[in-house]
Order: sequence, then C-alpha cells, then structure tokens
Amino acid sequence: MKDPDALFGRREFLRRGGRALCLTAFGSQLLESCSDTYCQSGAAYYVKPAKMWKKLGDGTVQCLLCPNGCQLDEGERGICRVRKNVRGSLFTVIYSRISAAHVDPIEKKPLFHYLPGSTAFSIATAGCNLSCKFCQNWELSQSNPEDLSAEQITPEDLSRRARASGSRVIAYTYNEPTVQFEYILDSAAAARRAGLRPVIISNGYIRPEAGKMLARSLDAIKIDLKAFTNRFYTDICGGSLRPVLDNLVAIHGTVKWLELVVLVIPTLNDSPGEIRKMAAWVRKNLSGDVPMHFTRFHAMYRIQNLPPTPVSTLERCRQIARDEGIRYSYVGNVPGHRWENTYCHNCGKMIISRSGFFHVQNDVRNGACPHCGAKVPGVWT
Amino acid sequence: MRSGRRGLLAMAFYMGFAAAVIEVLLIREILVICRGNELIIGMIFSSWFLGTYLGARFNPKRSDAALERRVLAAIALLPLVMALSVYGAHAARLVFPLTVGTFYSFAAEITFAMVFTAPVSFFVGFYFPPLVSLLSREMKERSGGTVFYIESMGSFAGGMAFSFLLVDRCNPLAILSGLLCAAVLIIAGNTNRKLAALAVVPLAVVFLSGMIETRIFAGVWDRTHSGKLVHYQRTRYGSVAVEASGGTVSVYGDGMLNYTLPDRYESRGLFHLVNSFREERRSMLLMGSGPGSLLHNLLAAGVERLCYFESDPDLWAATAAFRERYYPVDDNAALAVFREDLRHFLSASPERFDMIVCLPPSPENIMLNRFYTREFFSLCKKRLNERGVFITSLHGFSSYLSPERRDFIASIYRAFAGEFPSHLKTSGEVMYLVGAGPDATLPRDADALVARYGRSLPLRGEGFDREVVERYSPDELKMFFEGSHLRYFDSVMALSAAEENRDLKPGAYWKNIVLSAFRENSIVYRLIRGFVFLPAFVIIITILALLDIRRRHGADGLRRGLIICTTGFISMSVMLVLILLYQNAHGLVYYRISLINALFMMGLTLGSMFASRVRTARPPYILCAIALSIGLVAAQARFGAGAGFWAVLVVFAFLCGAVFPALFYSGAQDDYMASASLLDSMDHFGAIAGSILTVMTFLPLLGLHGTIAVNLLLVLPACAIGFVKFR
Repeated sequence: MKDPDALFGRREFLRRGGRALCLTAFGSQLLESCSDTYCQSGAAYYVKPAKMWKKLGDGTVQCLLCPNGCQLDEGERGICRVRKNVRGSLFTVIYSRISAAHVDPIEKKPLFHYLPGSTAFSIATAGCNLSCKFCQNWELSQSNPEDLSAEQITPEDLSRRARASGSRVIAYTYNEPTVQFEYILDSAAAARRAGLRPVIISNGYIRPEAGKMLARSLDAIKIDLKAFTNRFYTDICGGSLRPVLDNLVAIHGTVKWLELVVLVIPTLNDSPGEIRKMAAWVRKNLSGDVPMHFTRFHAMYRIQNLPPTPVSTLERCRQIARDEGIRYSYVGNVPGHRWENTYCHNCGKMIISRSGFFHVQNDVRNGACPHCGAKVPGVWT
Repeated sequence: MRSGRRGLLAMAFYMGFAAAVIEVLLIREILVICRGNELIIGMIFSSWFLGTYLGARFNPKRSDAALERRVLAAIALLPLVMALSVYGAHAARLVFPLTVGTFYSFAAEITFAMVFTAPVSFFVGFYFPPLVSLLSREMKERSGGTVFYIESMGSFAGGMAFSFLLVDRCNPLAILSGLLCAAVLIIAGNTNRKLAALAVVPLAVVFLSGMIETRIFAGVWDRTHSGKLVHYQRTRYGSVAVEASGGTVSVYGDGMLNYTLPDRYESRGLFHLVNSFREERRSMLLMGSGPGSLLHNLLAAGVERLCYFESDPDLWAATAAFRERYYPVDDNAALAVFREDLRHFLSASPERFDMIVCLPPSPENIMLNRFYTREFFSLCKKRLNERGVFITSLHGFSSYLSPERRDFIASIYRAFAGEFPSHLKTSGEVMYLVGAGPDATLPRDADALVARYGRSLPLRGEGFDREVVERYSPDELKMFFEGSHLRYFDSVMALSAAEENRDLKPGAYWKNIVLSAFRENSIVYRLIRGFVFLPAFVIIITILALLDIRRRHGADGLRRGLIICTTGFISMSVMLVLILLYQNAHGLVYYRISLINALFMMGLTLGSMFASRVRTARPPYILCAIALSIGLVAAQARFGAGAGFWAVLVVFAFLCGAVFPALFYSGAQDDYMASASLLDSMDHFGAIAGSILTVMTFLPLLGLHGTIAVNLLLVLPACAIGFVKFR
C-alpha cells in the first residue's frame, strides 16, 4: 500500500534511481567517445590510399593485406587499427606516422647472420594484426595511432635520419611492421637508393602475395614463429598458424635473408614434440640454413605472473632443432650463454662470439669459416 | 523455544567474533586470485559492508519466533558460506580458466571480491535487527546499543585471537570448522541441547584440515600453474607457495611471483652493473633481489658485510630448503639476513653503508610504494657513507612510453632525482637508477664506466657462478646505457606533469594501477583514469539511499541516516588512513590489520557501551569530538605513526562507537527493529562509500593529508544537523 507521506512510491523511486545511475555510467562513456571522435581527426598527411584491398559493394571494402581479411563498412577500421574505410575506399592512417625511433644493435632484433655488429635505425608505428598476450611492445601494437605521440618521417627523411645515426640498416620493428605496408614499400625503395639495408621484424601474419611484395623490397626478414599449434595462435595471439607457414614458404627464396625466432613460453609452447615438429617443418619447407632462435620468455604484457623459461628448456629446444637438421640454432635472451655464439656447422668451431648485444667478435671471412673454409649462410657485407 | 538474555548476548558476541576473523581471513584468501593492492582490498572491504548493508536493509518484520530462527540461521550459515567463499576463490581458476601466468581483469577481480565477500557479510547484517528486536523485548528496553557493543566486544576478541593465535597457526578450514563448532553449541544451547553432539563433526574436521587443505591446493595449483606445487604455507604476512619446474623453483607470495631459483643468467648483467659501481666499497645493504645469484656472487666478490633484507620477512624461513639447494650461503660470516621491514630498519638503526642496493617489486600497493618515495630515498641517502652509492630499480620501457607509463615512471624518477641530483640511469625494461652520496663521484657516462670496470677485470676470488663471470666483456654494460633510448627517455620525462612520489601522496602506486588497467584495456581503466565517474556514482547512490530512507522512515530517519552514514564514511576512511600511516612506519601490516581492527572494535565497544549507559550523550557533541580526534590523526600523519598511535585509534573508535547508540536512543519511534535496521544499514553504507572513495579517489588525488581534510569537512555538516535537530 502506498504511503501517503512518501515523496514517491517504490516503482517511481526505482525508475528515477535507475535513470540517474544510467546517466552517470553512460555519460562518462559518451564524453569519452566524443573526445575519441575529436582525436580521430588526425593530420591528413598520415592518411594515404592503401594497397591490397577490394570493394564488396554498398560502400563495404575488404582488406587483403593479412589473413584477417577484415570486411569494413564506411568509417570502420580493421583489427590492426590502422587501415580504415573512408567513403568506400581503404586508407592507411599511419603513413610516415612514426611513434618510436631508436638505434639498436642488429643482434637485438635478433638477426645473427646479417651484418653482425652493425646498428639498425629502428622505427615503429601503432597497430598490429594480432593481439599476443606476451607482446613486448603492446603500448605500440595494441593502440590506436591517435592515442600515441608521433612525428612525421617521410620515406626520404627516414634514410637521412638513419644515415645521420651511423646505421647501415633500417629496421621496421617493435609493432607489427606489415601494417605499414605502403610506407615500407616507399621508404625501403628510398633506403636502397641511399645505400641502406631495409629489414623487418614481423609476425609473418600476412597474405603470401603481400608478403612476396614486401620480401622483394627488403634485404632481410625476421619472423616470429610463435608456436606450432593452431590453438596457441588462436588462444594467445588471436590468429592462426597456417597463414604464417604459407607466408614463410612464399617469402623464403624471395628475400635475401630469413631468420626465425621462437619465444619459448613455459607450458604454452615448450613441449619437445611441438618444437620437433616445428624444426622438421622448417628443415623440410624452408631450409636447414635458416637460423632458429629459441628465446627466453620474461613476464610481459598480460602474462605477468609466469616464471622465466628455464634455461634447460631452451637448451633442449636448441638441441632438438639441431637434431632435426637446423644447422644454426640459438638460445636467446640469455646473455653469456655459450649457445648465443655461432659455431661453424662443418667444423664446430666458434666463428662469431657474442657477449650481450654490444660485444660481437665476428671471425667469418668472406662468408666462410676461418677454420675450415665452409661457407656460412648469411649476409656478411 | 525462546532464548534468554544471555543466549541472545552470546549470539551477538559470536557474530562479532566470527565477523572479525572472517573479514581478515577473506582478504588473505581472495588475494590468491586478485592482485594485492589497495584497490582490491578496498573493494573487499566495500563488498563486506555492502553485504552487511543489504542484510540489515532487507530484513522484514516477523513474529519473535521467526526472528529468532533468522538469527540462528545467520549464526549457522556464516561459517558455511565463508567456507564456500574461501575455497570458491581458490577454485575460481578452474571454473573460469585463464591463460597461465595472466591475471583476471580488474573488472573480474572486483566482481570476484563482491561475489566472494558480500554473501558472507550479508549474514552479519541480517542477524542484527532481529536480535535487537528480540533483546529489546527480553530486556524491556531499547537494546540497540547493547547489541552493538556486545558485537563490537566479540569483534575485539576475534581480532585479538586472529592476530596473536590464528594467523599463522590455523588454516581457514580449521578456523571455519572451529566457528561452526561454536555455532552448533550456541544453537543447541538456545534450542535443543541434544544438538550439541553434532559439534563433534566440525571438531573432527579441525584435526583433518591440514591434510584436506594440502590436497585441495596441490590439485588446484598443478592445474592452473606452469609448475608443480611443492610447498604451501600461510605466514603472518600472507601466503607463500613454491612450485618446481624444469630444474627451477619459483616462489610466490600471495599468488604473485617473487623470484625463481637458480637465477644465474638473469643475474649476470645486474651483478656486473652493481659490481662496476662497487670499487673498493666494503659494506652493502641489499633488498629485493631474492636470495639467489646476485647475493651469492656479491659475497664471492668480497663484500665484507652484506645486510640482506627480505620484503616478506617470513619468506626466508619458508623457502630455506629450496634456497639452500642452490645457494647454501646462510653460514657465510659476511652475510647478515634481516627479516624486518627495511624502512623500519633504516629509521631505527644508525648503521651506514658503502652501498645500498634496493630492488623492490613494482609498487603494486602502498606498502611497496614506500620504497619508491622521496622520503625513502632521503632515508637511504642518510644511511650512505660519504662516498656511498645507492642503486634502485623501476619498471622501464621497451621502445615507447605511453602517457600512463611515462607518468608512473616520472613520479618515481622525480622523487629519486630530487634526492640524488648527481645520478646515472639505465635504459631497458628494468631501469636502474644510481645515485651518489655526498662525496661520491659517478663516472660521467657509460664509456667511462666500461673503461673503469674493464681495468678491474677479470674478477679474482672463488665461488663465482660460472654463468655470471665466464667470457664476460665490460662491453656488456653498454646494454644498460643505450643512447637513443636514454635521450628519448629524457625528452619524454620533460613532458610529464606527474608530481614526485611521496609517502603521504602515493602517486606511483595509483599510476601503477592505472597502467595495469590500461594494459588490460579494462573498463575499470575508463572509469578510474579521470577522477570524475566514481565520486559522481557514489554521490548518486548515496542520494538514492537517503531518498529511500526518507521514503521509509520520514524526515527524522533521514537526518539520523545522514549522520550515521557520515560516521560510517569517516570511520572507514580514517581507519584506512591510520592503517597506511602504520604501514608507512612499520611495513607489512597484514597480521596487524586484525589487531588494528580489534582495537578499533574495542574503541567502538567502549564508546557504544558508554553511550548506552550514559544516555544523555548527544550526537552533535560526539561529532564535534570526532572532528577533534581527526585533528589527532592529522598530527600522526605529520609526525609519523609513533607513540600515541594506538591511543588515537582507540579514541577515534570510541567516539565513532558512541554515535550509533546515541542516535538509537534519540529516535522518537518505538520500532526497535526498524530503527536498528536503519542505523545499521546506513552505518555500513557510509563505510562502503568511505572505503571506495578513499582508496580510489582521495588517496591518489589528495594524499593522506587531503583525505584527512575531506573527512574533517564531511563531519562538519553532520555536526550542524546534529546541533539543529538533536541537541
């Protein structure tokens, strides 16, 4: 029974209370979305027509750069956050929009058979087509370009800056560089004209046609082969394994030099059986000359509460790869470990000594072992 | 079946006792699946009060027999629901699987905190109004104050028992079984004495609890972690777990990874960095490295006196067997292991060191934040010899600094640089900051350091780990000083407006929470990155709750509700401030929380007992006295929680405790149950608002002094209402 003294009844009370709470909860979201809309009006010089896409009708487009194959309505962006449907055409919004630029030793990438001891002018933008829970550069890869500070570095500027830094190599790295497809094609061509060597450090999650185009414009590619099970790619990275393998087959032989890195994460991708299958596949479908790095996991991004990979696990992975015919397999992220050095596949003697990234003693002479004269695969000059 | 006066009072005492024990127990157990920061602890507190509020609020009137059944049901169900919550928390990862090594999102953790806490505390609120009604009839007078102080007395006893007896001796199953045993006896005493025989069942579980627990934990752990659980122990400070995997053991504290042994390769770079600054320095203080390779190799390098501190004092003993497998260093004459809070030691001891190396875990909570503040850096500087060197670490960056990470790092870096104007910093995902004592000179750059260290190599001595010294080139030091990264760091730091991290304004702690929420792209990040949503939300909810009271209890009820709500708010907020003050001075406080809680409850007991006996105590005067006591709290904040801390705590609690009975007796209505329901629910409602806003808005935004000022400002309008309406 309604209380005559009451300000309002129970129903009215609940209704008004509900409205007030909704207004508070969604009001802040509304304000935020308004500010996002404001932010998205970024500088026009970062926006360029994209390659590798097709129209589907009704203003919808499909991006054909990576296996995600995003179908985008007007105004939508792909999973990578950096390719956008603008009035029925696909555009990249990160052309020359560089958020990070550093000078790194090439060993840090890691590329061990490619100009050892040289430095790479390393750049990154926002965006990635995967969402790995262990990403080292998640602040770049999992962000919208508008949320990152950035500077414009045109393709020509990039070569100038790299030269000024004393680097022989330009590395597209940190985030997933293939999302900068158009910029890489242009700036890598400019770099080559300037006598520089463009390389990328990629997850390899790109369609074979696009992968080949990139491979032709680059001197070296390092691919993170994150695991050898589709489940890992699906659950941990938001992708799938098969396209990476297809792409690896496509680019091998096109690009001058290829190395593979496997970040070994306890319990997730460290089983001997999986590593054995992976190494066997590399040997069979690529080559035993493709170096494989088994690197140590440290707590990162979402995986914050997992111990580092036991060194014994990495040593086991390295041995399995050797057994499967991979002639140059390494243990990584373990400074001081003897299997961070390069040993000649023929005579077994040390030919490149490494102690961290900055102490590299390269004894390879004219691409061959100084002890036995066997040709050592790689790019040495 | 009718309980007599003694029976009813025993029920109130039991509920107070059980509530005090269960509340603290829940914090420790829920932290197994949540990160142990004040945000989550605040949410557990809030959820506790939410459950109590709901129990007191939704408690319709019934006949006496029904009311008594309700009270007895609450007594019996409290430990049972508690058991579900505790072991439900441990089993959560089985029911809601996660990728190994990841945490639930903050939103999920907050949900878990509520789901596992509120149902338990519901019964703490649920029993109160019926018991007041029953006791009032029994004693033929208004007995709200009496129940309140008997319950508080029980809470005091529970807090003391937990603090000094149960905390590290009994597992939750034993405690819960003990409580159930007592509940059965109380129910039997008030209904049918033959039921007392049933108490044998929970009593038997007490004795079997160790074995049951071990099996449960090992089963759950092995399914949800990367290694096999080989040791689990509850200490006065939390829980310690050790897992084995691939020839290594990893030590977890409260579910968070502390360190892994052996750690020879991890230590290689850090050992040489520390050693490169050591030169001829002989005495060293080391904290936060874990008892692994760094400690072992520094001793091998010839440090003459090495004082090692554990961040969790009980960890050293708990992991002795595993540690000694890799590094049997306990009998080294140069090593002194301190199992006490480093800050407390530095404040109390006059000893000075040639080097202090402090590598604490990230400031996930305010306790850890104390190792990143200007005050701490100042303390370390005072304990350095003239040519001493101080080294600390913080989370750095890989390639890019987001605004969230930038501000987090800036708040710590500025505190450090303010105290050590002459310093070096490293690049990388873990940054090291090296500060010089008054007469010490640091190398001007990395090249100078490398050249200097190169002259002291190779290291002489025995007992070094081969992995640490073999083929070492001083060029490895350059990995710590990547030029373009350091220039980028300097340029980005200049853009940050973050204030330096202080004891009384723990900015880094809060920025770390914001960074964590940003990392997981959580909805919580959107809600907490500004300070607008939460206060607005709490204000609206408060207005709704007050309108609800106005609707149900009229204008007089609204005024009383407002005053008790304010009291609940400031009592919780000031208590959190007091806990933090104590923590700043003494370090880990988990085992002291129950003592603080107990003494707070003792104050409440005395206050409510006083106001119940002396019925002339009027709310406005008590509120004025509360305002004055908040001034005493401010004095503690100004001069440090030293002598008088416990007295201030008890005085403040005494005054807060007096408000409830004073308001209860000042009410015009004779409906005891409604009055008790109103006051109990709004008291806890205020406590919810106080705990949430204190940890999520006031402390990070205003600091401890600001929080105290806000409480002072809040108590004044309540005083005014009291003077106008209750004088």
